[in-house]
Amino acid sequence: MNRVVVTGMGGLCSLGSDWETVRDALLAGRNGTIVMPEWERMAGLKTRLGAPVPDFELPTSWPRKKTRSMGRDSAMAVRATEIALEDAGLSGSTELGDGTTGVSYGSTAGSPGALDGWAESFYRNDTLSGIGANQYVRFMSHTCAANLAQFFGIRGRIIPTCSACTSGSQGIGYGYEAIKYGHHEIMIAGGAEELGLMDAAVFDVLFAASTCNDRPDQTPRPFDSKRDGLVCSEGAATFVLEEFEHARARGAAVYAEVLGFGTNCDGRHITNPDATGMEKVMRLGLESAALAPEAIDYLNAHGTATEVGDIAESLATAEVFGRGVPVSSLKGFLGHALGACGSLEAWLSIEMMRDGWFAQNRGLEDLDPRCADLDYIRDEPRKLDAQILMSNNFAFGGVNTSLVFGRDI
Amino acid sequence: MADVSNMSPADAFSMLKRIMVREFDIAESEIQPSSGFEDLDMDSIDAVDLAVSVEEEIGFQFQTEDLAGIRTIQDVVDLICGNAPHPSG
Repeated sequence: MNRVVVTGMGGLCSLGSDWETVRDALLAGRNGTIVMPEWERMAGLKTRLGAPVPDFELPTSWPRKKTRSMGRDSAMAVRATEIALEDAGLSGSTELGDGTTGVSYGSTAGSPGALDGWAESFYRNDTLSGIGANQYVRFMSHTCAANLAQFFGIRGRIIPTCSACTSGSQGIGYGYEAIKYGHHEIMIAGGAEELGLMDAAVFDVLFAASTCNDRPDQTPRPFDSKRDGLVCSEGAATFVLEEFEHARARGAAVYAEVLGFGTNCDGRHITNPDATGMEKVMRLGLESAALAPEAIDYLNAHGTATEVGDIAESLATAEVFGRGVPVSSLKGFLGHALGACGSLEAWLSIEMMRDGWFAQNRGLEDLDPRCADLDYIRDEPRKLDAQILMSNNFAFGGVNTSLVFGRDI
Repeated sequence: MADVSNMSPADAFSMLKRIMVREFDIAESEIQPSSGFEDLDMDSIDAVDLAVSVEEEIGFQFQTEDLAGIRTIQDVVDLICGNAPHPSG
Protein backbone atom coordinates (compact mmCIF):
# COMPACT_ATOMS: atom_id res chain seq x y z
CA MET A 1 0.00 0.00 0.00
CA ASN A 2 1.15 3.50 -0.81
CA ARG A 3 2.08 6.23 1.64
CA VAL A 4 0.15 9.45 1.17
CA VAL A 5 1.50 12.92 1.85
CA VAL A 6 0.11 16.44 1.79
CA THR A 7 1.98 18.60 -0.70
CA GLY A 8 -0.38 21.55 -0.96
CA MET A 9 -3.06 23.23 1.12
CA GLY A 10 -5.33 26.19 0.59
CA GLY A 11 -8.34 27.48 2.42
CA LEU A 12 -10.86 30.26 2.91
CA CYS A 13 -12.76 30.74 6.15
CA SER A 14 -14.45 33.39 8.22
CA LEU A 15 -11.11 34.49 9.68
CA GLY A 16 -9.21 34.82 6.41
CA SER A 17 -8.02 33.19 3.25
CA ASP A 18 -4.42 32.39 4.07
CA TRP A 19 -2.69 30.79 7.03
CA GLU A 20 -0.90 33.95 8.17
CA THR A 21 -4.14 35.93 8.44
CA VAL A 22 -6.00 33.10 10.16
CA ARG A 23 -3.05 32.49 12.50
CA ASP A 24 -3.05 36.11 13.61
CA ALA A 25 -6.79 35.98 14.28
CA LEU A 26 -6.45 32.75 16.28
CA LEU A 27 -3.59 34.18 18.34
CA ALA A 28 -5.58 37.37 18.94
CA GLY A 29 -8.57 35.30 20.08
CA ARG A 30 -10.95 36.74 17.46
CA ASN A 31 -13.96 34.90 16.07
CA GLY A 32 -15.72 35.26 12.73
CA THR A 33 -19.30 35.47 13.98
CA ILE A 34 -21.36 38.43 12.82
CA VAL A 35 -25.02 39.43 12.84
CA MET A 36 -26.80 38.70 9.54
CA PRO A 37 -29.41 41.48 9.26
CA GLU A 38 -30.81 40.07 6.00
CA TRP A 39 -32.07 37.06 7.93
CA GLU A 40 -34.55 39.26 9.83
CA ARG A 41 -37.13 38.58 7.11
CA MET A 42 -37.57 34.92 8.02
CA ALA A 43 -40.52 34.37 10.32
CA GLY A 44 -39.79 32.06 13.20
CA LEU A 45 -36.02 32.13 12.80
CA LYS A 46 -34.42 32.69 16.19
CA THR A 47 -30.76 32.92 15.25
CA ARG A 48 -29.33 35.92 13.42
CA LEU A 49 -25.75 34.73 13.53
CA GLY A 50 -23.43 33.55 10.79
CA ALA A 51 -19.73 33.57 10.00
CA PRO A 52 -19.26 34.28 6.29
CA VAL A 53 -16.01 34.47 4.38
CA PRO A 54 -15.39 38.21 4.16
CA ASP A 55 -14.84 39.89 0.80
CA PHE A 56 -14.88 36.79 -1.40
CA GLU A 57 -15.73 37.60 -5.02
CA LEU A 58 -15.36 35.59 -8.21
CA PRO A 59 -11.93 36.39 -9.63
CA THR A 60 -12.41 38.37 -12.83
CA SER A 61 -9.63 36.41 -14.49
CA TRP A 62 -11.66 33.19 -14.50
CA PRO A 63 -13.28 32.40 -17.88
CA ARG A 64 -17.03 32.87 -18.14
CA LYS A 65 -17.59 29.31 -19.33
CA LYS A 66 -15.84 28.06 -16.20
CA THR A 67 -17.75 30.26 -13.77
CA ARG A 68 -21.27 30.00 -15.15
CA SER A 69 -21.83 26.63 -13.49
CA MET A 70 -20.54 27.73 -10.10
CA GLY A 71 -22.43 28.76 -7.04
CA ARG A 72 -20.52 30.45 -4.26
CA ASP A 73 -19.58 27.08 -2.71
CA SER A 74 -18.00 25.81 -5.93
CA ALA A 75 -16.25 29.12 -6.48
CA MET A 76 -14.68 28.96 -3.02
CA ALA A 77 -13.71 25.32 -3.64
CA VAL A 78 -12.00 26.31 -6.88
CA ARG A 79 -10.21 29.26 -5.27
CA ALA A 80 -8.97 27.09 -2.39
CA THR A 81 -7.78 24.55 -4.93
CA GLU A 82 -5.98 27.16 -7.01
CA ILE A 83 -4.07 28.13 -3.89
CA ALA A 84 -3.36 24.52 -2.97
CA LEU A 85 -2.16 23.55 -6.45
CA GLU A 86 0.12 26.56 -6.61
CA ASP A 87 1.40 25.67 -3.16
CA ALA A 88 2.12 22.15 -4.39
CA GLY A 89 3.84 23.35 -7.54
CA LEU A 90 1.19 21.68 -9.70
CA SER A 91 -0.57 24.68 -11.27
CA GLY A 92 -1.07 23.87 -14.93
CA SER A 93 0.56 20.45 -14.56
CA THR A 94 -0.18 17.94 -17.32
CA GLU A 95 -0.82 15.43 -14.56
CA LEU A 96 -4.09 17.15 -13.77
CA GLY A 97 -5.49 16.14 -17.14
CA ASP A 98 -3.87 12.82 -17.97
CA GLY A 99 -5.72 10.64 -15.48
CA THR A 100 -3.07 10.83 -12.77
CA THR A 101 -5.25 13.12 -10.66
CA GLY A 102 -8.72 12.64 -9.22
CA VAL A 103 -11.09 14.68 -7.08
CA SER A 104 -12.57 13.75 -3.72
CA TYR A 105 -14.62 16.67 -2.52
CA GLY A 106 -17.94 17.48 -0.93
CA SER A 107 -20.37 20.00 0.46
CA THR A 108 -23.54 19.40 2.42
CA ALA A 109 -25.57 20.10 -0.72
CA GLY A 110 -25.19 22.36 -3.72
CA SER A 111 -25.34 26.13 -3.65
CA PRO A 112 -28.28 27.28 -1.52
CA GLY A 113 -28.32 30.55 -3.44
CA ALA A 114 -28.92 28.70 -6.71
CA LEU A 115 -31.50 26.44 -5.13
CA ASP A 116 -33.39 29.46 -3.79
CA GLY A 117 -33.71 30.94 -7.27
CA TRP A 118 -34.83 27.70 -8.86
CA ALA A 119 -37.32 26.93 -6.09
CA GLU A 120 -38.83 30.39 -6.25
CA SER A 121 -39.77 29.93 -9.91
CA PHE A 122 -40.70 26.29 -9.67
CA TYR A 123 -42.59 26.10 -6.38
CA ARG A 124 -43.71 29.60 -5.53
CA ASN A 125 -44.58 30.84 -9.02
CA ASP A 126 -45.40 27.52 -10.72
CA THR A 127 -43.37 28.38 -13.77
CA LEU A 128 -40.20 27.40 -15.55
CA SER A 129 -39.78 30.95 -16.78
CA GLY A 130 -36.52 32.41 -15.64
CA ILE A 131 -34.87 29.05 -14.98
CA GLY A 132 -31.58 29.04 -16.84
CA ALA A 133 -29.38 26.21 -18.00
CA ASN A 134 -26.86 26.62 -15.19
CA GLN A 135 -29.08 26.76 -12.15
CA TYR A 136 -29.36 23.04 -11.55
CA VAL A 137 -25.65 22.36 -11.92
CA ARG A 138 -24.98 24.97 -9.27
CA PHE A 139 -27.07 23.19 -6.69
CA MET A 140 -26.65 19.54 -7.64
CA SER A 141 -25.07 17.53 -4.86
CA HIS A 142 -21.71 17.00 -6.57
CA THR A 143 -21.40 20.54 -7.87
CA CYS A 144 -18.10 21.26 -6.09
CA ALA A 145 -16.35 18.13 -7.33
CA ALA A 146 -17.74 18.58 -10.84
CA ASN A 147 -16.75 22.22 -11.05
CA LEU A 148 -13.26 21.45 -9.80
CA ALA A 149 -12.87 18.86 -12.54
CA GLN A 150 -14.19 21.25 -15.20
CA PHE A 151 -12.08 24.16 -14.06
CA PHE A 152 -8.79 22.30 -13.83
CA GLY A 153 -9.45 19.75 -16.59
CA ILE A 154 -9.12 16.79 -14.24
CA ARG A 155 -9.87 13.45 -15.89
CA GLY A 156 -9.45 10.98 -13.04
CA ARG A 157 -12.15 9.67 -10.74
CA ILE A 158 -14.63 11.96 -9.03
CA ILE A 159 -15.66 11.06 -5.48
CA PRO A 160 -18.37 13.44 -4.26
CA THR A 161 -18.37 13.25 -0.47
CA CYS A 162 -21.63 15.01 0.31
CA SER A 163 -22.28 13.90 3.88
CA ALA A 164 -23.10 17.16 5.67
CA CYS A 165 -20.53 17.93 8.36
CA THR A 166 -18.17 15.13 7.33
CA SER A 167 -18.09 16.15 3.65
CA GLY A 168 -14.65 17.72 3.96
CA SER A 169 -13.11 15.06 6.17
CA GLN A 170 -14.48 12.27 3.99
CA GLY A 171 -13.07 14.17 1.01
CA ILE A 172 -9.60 13.90 2.52
CA GLY A 173 -10.19 10.37 3.77
CA TYR A 174 -11.46 8.93 0.52
CA GLY A 175 -8.81 10.84 -1.40
CA TYR A 176 -6.21 9.27 0.88
CA GLU A 177 -7.63 5.81 0.21
CA ALA A 178 -7.67 6.39 -3.56
CA ILE A 179 -3.91 6.93 -3.43
CA LYS A 180 -3.20 4.38 -0.71
CA TYR A 181 -4.77 1.62 -2.78
CA GLY A 182 -3.10 2.68 -6.00
CA HIS A 183 -5.94 4.18 -8.01
CA HIS A 184 -4.36 7.62 -8.32
CA GLU A 185 -1.09 9.37 -7.59
CA ILE A 186 -2.62 12.78 -6.89
CA MET A 187 -5.99 13.64 -5.37
CA ILE A 188 -7.62 17.04 -4.95
CA ALA A 189 -9.41 16.56 -1.65
CA GLY A 190 -11.51 18.58 0.74
CA GLY A 191 -14.83 20.31 1.24
CA ALA A 192 -16.70 23.56 0.81
CA GLU A 193 -19.80 25.23 2.14
CA GLU A 194 -21.80 28.30 1.14
CA LEU A 195 -23.51 30.01 4.03
CA GLY A 196 -27.22 30.32 3.42
CA LEU A 197 -30.25 31.09 5.47
CA MET A 198 -31.33 27.51 4.91
CA ASP A 199 -28.26 26.21 6.76
CA ALA A 200 -29.08 28.30 9.80
CA ALA A 201 -32.75 27.35 9.62
CA VAL A 202 -31.95 23.63 9.62
CA PHE A 203 -30.34 23.96 13.04
CA ASP A 204 -32.73 26.63 14.26
CA VAL A 205 -35.73 24.32 13.97
CA LEU A 206 -33.82 21.77 16.03
CA PHE A 207 -33.08 24.43 18.69
CA ALA A 208 -29.39 23.84 17.98
CA ALA A 209 -28.43 27.29 16.63
CA SER A 210 -27.01 29.98 18.89
CA THR A 211 -29.31 32.89 19.64
CA CYS A 212 -26.76 35.18 21.31
CA ASN A 213 -27.73 37.70 18.66
CA ASP A 214 -26.58 40.68 20.69
CA ARG A 215 -23.21 39.10 21.56
CA PRO A 216 -21.71 37.70 18.35
CA ASP A 217 -18.21 37.95 19.77
CA GLN A 218 -19.16 35.51 22.54
CA THR A 219 -20.55 32.60 20.55
CA PRO A 220 -20.28 29.72 19.78
CA ARG A 221 -18.71 28.24 22.93
CA PRO A 222 -17.93 24.54 22.52
CA PHE A 223 -18.00 22.51 25.74
CA ASP A 224 -18.91 25.54 27.89
CA SER A 225 -21.83 25.29 30.30
CA LYS A 226 -23.31 28.53 28.92
CA ARG A 227 -23.14 27.52 25.23
CA ASP A 228 -26.42 27.79 23.39
CA GLY A 229 -25.74 26.16 20.06
CA LEU A 230 -23.73 26.45 16.89
CA VAL A 231 -23.12 29.31 14.47
CA CYS A 232 -23.21 28.38 10.79
CA SER A 233 -20.27 29.55 8.72
CA GLU A 234 -18.77 28.86 5.33
CA GLY A 235 -15.54 28.38 3.47
CA ALA A 236 -13.49 25.81 1.65
CA ALA A 237 -10.24 24.00 2.18
CA THR A 238 -8.37 21.86 -0.32
CA PHE A 239 -5.59 19.37 0.20
CA VAL A 240 -3.31 18.20 -2.56
CA LEU A 241 -2.71 14.60 -1.58
CA GLU A 242 0.09 12.78 -3.30
CA GLU A 243 1.68 9.36 -3.32
CA PHE A 244 4.89 9.69 -1.35
CA GLU A 245 7.34 8.45 -4.00
CA HIS A 246 5.63 10.57 -6.64
CA ALA A 247 6.06 13.64 -4.45
CA ARG A 248 9.67 12.79 -3.67
CA ALA A 249 10.52 12.20 -7.32
CA ARG A 250 9.47 15.69 -8.25
CA GLY A 251 11.07 17.26 -5.19
CA ALA A 252 7.81 18.48 -3.70
CA ALA A 253 7.76 20.00 -0.24
CA VAL A 254 5.67 17.95 2.17
CA TYR A 255 3.47 19.40 4.91
CA ALA A 256 2.44 16.18 6.58
CA GLU A 257 1.68 12.53 6.00
CA VAL A 258 -1.84 11.16 6.14
CA LEU A 259 -1.29 8.28 8.54
CA GLY A 260 -4.80 6.98 8.86
CA PHE A 261 -8.49 7.42 8.21
CA GLY A 262 -11.47 5.85 9.89
CA THR A 263 -15.11 6.30 9.01
CA ASN A 264 -18.27 4.55 10.13
CA CYS A 265 -21.92 5.13 10.88
CA ASP A 266 -23.83 5.03 14.15
CA GLY A 267 -26.76 3.40 12.40
CA ARG A 268 -28.98 4.50 15.24
CA HIS A 269 -30.45 8.02 15.07
CA ILE A 270 -30.63 10.42 12.13
CA THR A 271 -29.58 13.55 14.06
CA ASN A 272 -28.54 12.61 17.59
CA PRO A 273 -24.87 11.64 17.89
CA ASP A 274 -23.89 8.37 19.49
CA ALA A 275 -20.80 8.21 21.71
CA THR A 276 -20.31 4.54 20.89
CA GLY A 277 -20.00 5.22 17.17
CA MET A 278 -17.73 8.17 17.83
CA GLU A 279 -15.45 6.12 20.05
CA LYS A 280 -15.35 3.39 17.43
CA VAL A 281 -14.34 5.75 14.64
CA MET A 282 -11.44 7.13 16.68
CA ARG A 283 -10.24 3.58 17.22
CA LEU A 284 -10.64 2.92 13.47
CA GLY A 285 -8.51 5.98 12.76
CA LEU A 286 -5.83 4.73 15.13
CA GLU A 287 -6.04 1.22 13.69
CA SER A 288 -5.69 2.57 10.16
CA ALA A 289 -2.56 4.44 11.25
CA ALA A 290 -1.31 1.45 13.28
CA LEU A 291 -0.96 3.68 16.32
CA ALA A 292 -1.87 3.46 20.00
CA PRO A 293 -3.83 6.31 21.59
CA GLU A 294 -0.68 7.44 23.38
CA ALA A 295 0.88 8.34 20.02
CA ILE A 296 -1.58 11.18 19.42
CA ASP A 297 -0.12 14.51 20.59
CA TYR A 298 -3.13 16.73 19.81
CA LEU A 299 -6.78 16.09 19.03
CA ASN A 300 -8.88 18.52 17.04
CA ALA A 301 -12.45 18.01 18.15
CA HIS A 302 -15.61 18.51 16.10
CA GLY A 303 -16.98 20.50 19.10
CA THR A 304 -19.92 22.34 17.55
CA ALA A 305 -21.30 23.81 20.80
CA THR A 306 -24.51 21.83 20.67
CA GLU A 307 -25.54 20.19 23.91
CA VAL A 308 -25.87 16.60 22.75
CA GLY A 309 -22.92 16.78 20.38
CA ASP A 310 -20.37 18.14 22.84
CA ILE A 311 -21.34 15.71 25.57
CA ALA A 312 -21.28 12.64 23.35
CA GLU A 313 -18.02 13.58 21.68
CA SER A 314 -16.25 14.33 24.95
CA LEU A 315 -17.38 11.02 26.46
CA ALA A 316 -16.21 9.14 23.39
CA THR A 317 -12.88 10.93 23.41
CA ALA A 318 -12.40 10.13 27.10
CA GLU A 319 -13.06 6.45 26.46
CA VAL A 320 -10.21 6.34 23.96
CA PHE A 321 -7.73 8.84 25.36
CA GLY A 322 -8.67 9.69 28.94
CA ARG A 323 -6.92 12.94 29.78
CA GLY A 324 -3.94 11.86 27.74
CA VAL A 325 -4.23 14.25 24.82
CA PRO A 326 -4.72 18.03 24.55
CA VAL A 327 -8.08 18.76 22.90
CA SER A 328 -9.55 21.80 21.23
CA SER A 329 -12.29 22.68 18.79
CA LEU A 330 -11.81 25.52 16.31
CA LYS A 331 -15.51 26.23 15.96
CA GLY A 332 -15.43 28.87 18.70
CA PHE A 333 -13.30 30.85 16.22
CA LEU A 334 -14.59 29.78 12.81
CA GLY A 335 -18.19 28.84 13.44
CA HIS A 336 -19.45 25.59 11.95
CA ALA A 337 -18.58 25.46 8.27
CA LEU A 338 -20.55 22.23 7.82
CA GLY A 339 -19.33 20.64 4.57
CA ALA A 340 -16.06 22.54 4.78
CA CYS A 341 -15.29 22.11 8.47
CA GLY A 342 -13.44 18.80 8.21
CA SER A 343 -10.91 20.03 5.69
CA LEU A 344 -10.68 23.52 7.23
CA GLU A 345 -9.91 22.09 10.64
CA ALA A 346 -7.42 19.57 9.24
CA TRP A 347 -5.68 22.38 7.34
CA LEU A 348 -5.40 24.62 10.37
CA SER A 349 -4.44 21.77 12.70
CA ILE A 350 -1.52 20.85 10.44
CA GLU A 351 -0.44 24.49 10.23
CA MET A 352 -0.61 24.81 14.02
CA MET A 353 1.39 21.59 14.42
CA ARG A 354 4.07 22.98 12.13
CA ASP A 355 4.09 26.23 14.14
CA GLY A 356 4.39 24.41 17.46
CA TRP A 357 1.20 25.62 19.16
CA PHE A 358 -2.52 24.89 19.21
CA ALA A 359 -5.44 27.25 19.67
CA GLN A 360 -7.61 27.06 22.75
CA ASN A 361 -11.29 26.24 22.95
CA ARG A 362 -12.52 29.78 22.45
CA GLY A 363 -15.38 30.58 24.81
CA LEU A 364 -14.70 27.68 27.18
CA GLU A 365 -14.81 29.25 30.63
CA ASP A 366 -16.91 26.88 32.70
CA LEU A 367 -16.90 23.30 31.46
CA ASP A 368 -20.32 21.69 31.19
CA PRO A 369 -20.16 19.14 34.02
CA ARG A 370 -21.84 16.60 31.75
CA CYS A 371 -18.86 16.75 29.40
CA ALA A 372 -16.00 14.36 30.11
CA ASP A 373 -12.88 15.41 31.95
CA LEU A 374 -10.46 15.95 29.06
CA ASP A 375 -7.28 17.99 28.73
CA TYR A 376 -9.11 20.89 27.08
CA ILE A 377 -6.81 23.65 25.88
CA ARG A 378 -8.19 26.70 27.67
CA ASP A 379 -7.81 30.46 27.86
CA GLU A 380 -4.88 30.80 25.49
CA PRO A 381 -2.97 28.88 22.82
CA ARG A 382 -0.72 26.11 24.09
CA LYS A 383 2.83 25.57 22.91
CA LEU A 384 3.19 21.95 21.96
CA ASP A 385 5.79 20.07 19.97
CA ALA A 386 3.31 17.69 18.39
CA GLN A 387 4.33 15.06 15.86
CA ILE A 388 0.97 13.36 15.28
CA LEU A 389 -2.56 14.74 15.47
CA MET A 390 -6.07 13.43 15.07
CA SER A 391 -8.94 15.45 13.57
CA ASN A 392 -12.50 14.22 14.18
CA ASN A 393 -15.82 15.15 12.61
CA PHE A 394 -19.39 13.93 12.96
CA ALA A 395 -22.45 14.47 10.79
CA PHE A 396 -26.21 14.07 10.59
CA GLY A 397 -27.01 10.54 9.62
CA GLY A 398 -24.62 9.24 12.26
CA VAL A 399 -21.62 9.59 9.96
CA ASN A 400 -18.28 9.76 11.77
CA THR A 401 -14.73 10.39 10.57
CA SER A 402 -11.30 10.38 12.14
CA LEU A 403 -8.18 11.54 10.29
CA VAL A 404 -4.61 11.07 11.57
CA PHE A 405 -1.75 13.22 10.32
CA GLY A 406 1.97 12.93 11.05
CA ARG A 407 4.55 15.68 10.84
CA ASP A 408 7.68 13.62 10.21
CA ILE A 409 8.10 11.97 6.84
CA MET B 1 -41.73 44.37 -20.58
CA ALA B 2 -41.42 45.52 -24.22
CA ASP B 3 -44.20 44.87 -26.72
CA VAL B 4 -42.88 42.10 -28.92
CA SER B 5 -45.60 42.51 -31.51
CA ASN B 6 -44.24 45.92 -32.51
CA MET B 7 -40.57 45.19 -32.15
CA SER B 8 -38.55 46.20 -35.16
CA PRO B 9 -35.57 44.14 -36.31
CA ALA B 10 -33.31 46.98 -35.22
CA ASP B 11 -34.82 47.02 -31.73
CA ALA B 12 -34.58 43.24 -31.48
CA PHE B 13 -30.94 43.33 -32.48
CA SER B 14 -30.21 46.07 -29.93
CA MET B 15 -31.87 44.05 -27.22
CA LEU B 16 -29.92 40.91 -28.11
CA LYS B 17 -26.69 42.85 -28.18
CA ARG B 18 -27.42 44.32 -24.78
CA ILE B 19 -28.15 40.87 -23.31
CA MET B 20 -25.07 39.31 -24.84
CA VAL B 21 -22.78 42.00 -23.52
CA ARG B 22 -24.34 41.76 -20.08
CA GLU B 23 -24.74 38.00 -19.76
CA PHE B 24 -21.91 36.59 -21.83
CA ASP B 25 -19.17 39.21 -21.57
CA ILE B 26 -18.97 39.57 -25.33
CA ALA B 27 -17.52 42.82 -26.67
CA GLU B 28 -20.23 44.94 -28.29
CA SER B 29 -18.06 45.51 -31.35
CA GLU B 30 -18.00 41.77 -32.08
CA ILE B 31 -21.76 41.46 -32.23
CA GLN B 32 -23.18 41.85 -35.73
CA PRO B 33 -26.43 40.50 -37.21
CA SER B 34 -24.41 38.06 -39.27
CA SER B 35 -22.37 36.85 -36.28
CA GLY B 36 -22.63 33.13 -35.70
CA PHE B 37 -23.05 31.94 -32.12
CA GLU B 38 -20.12 29.58 -32.45
CA ASP B 39 -17.99 32.47 -33.69
CA LEU B 40 -18.91 34.32 -30.49
CA ASP B 41 -17.89 31.29 -28.41
CA MET B 42 -21.46 30.60 -27.34
CA ASP B 43 -22.62 27.03 -26.89
CA SER B 44 -25.89 25.22 -26.25
CA ILE B 45 -25.96 26.22 -22.58
CA ASP B 46 -25.55 29.86 -23.57
CA ALA B 47 -28.34 29.48 -26.11
CA VAL B 48 -30.73 28.37 -23.38
CA ASP B 49 -29.70 31.24 -21.12
CA LEU B 50 -30.12 33.70 -24.01
CA ALA B 51 -33.63 32.39 -24.58
CA VAL B 52 -34.42 32.81 -20.87
CA SER B 53 -33.17 36.39 -20.92
CA VAL B 54 -35.17 37.23 -24.03
CA GLU B 55 -38.30 35.80 -22.45
CA GLU B 56 -37.70 37.84 -19.30
CA GLU B 57 -37.22 41.03 -21.33
CA ILE B 58 -40.06 40.80 -23.86
CA GLY B 59 -42.06 37.69 -23.01
CA PHE B 60 -41.11 35.94 -26.25
CA GLN B 61 -41.02 32.18 -25.78
CA PHE B 62 -38.81 30.08 -28.01
CA GLN B 63 -40.15 26.73 -29.13
CA THR B 64 -38.02 23.62 -29.19
CA GLU B 65 -38.06 23.53 -32.98
CA ASP B 66 -36.92 27.16 -33.13
CA LEU B 67 -33.61 26.42 -31.51
CA ALA B 68 -32.53 23.87 -34.13
CA GLY B 69 -32.57 26.46 -36.89
CA ILE B 70 -30.65 29.20 -35.13
CA ARG B 71 -27.12 29.83 -36.37
CA THR B 72 -26.72 33.61 -36.35
CA ILE B 73 -28.04 36.56 -34.42
CA GLN B 74 -30.11 37.52 -37.46
CA ASP B 75 -31.87 34.14 -37.14
CA VAL B 76 -32.99 35.13 -33.63
CA VAL B 77 -34.05 38.60 -34.79
CA ASP B 78 -36.18 36.99 -37.50
CA LEU B 79 -37.80 34.66 -34.99
CA ILE B 80 -38.66 37.47 -32.61
CA CYS B 81 -40.02 39.67 -35.37
CA GLY B 82 -42.02 36.89 -36.96
CA ASN B 83 -39.97 36.75 -40.13
CA ALA B 84 -38.50 33.31 -39.66
CA PRO B 85 -39.45 30.57 -42.10
CA HIS B 86 -41.63 27.87 -40.65
CA PRO B 87 -39.35 25.07 -39.40
CA SER B 88 -41.23 22.40 -41.30
CA GLY B 89 -41.31 24.45 -44.46
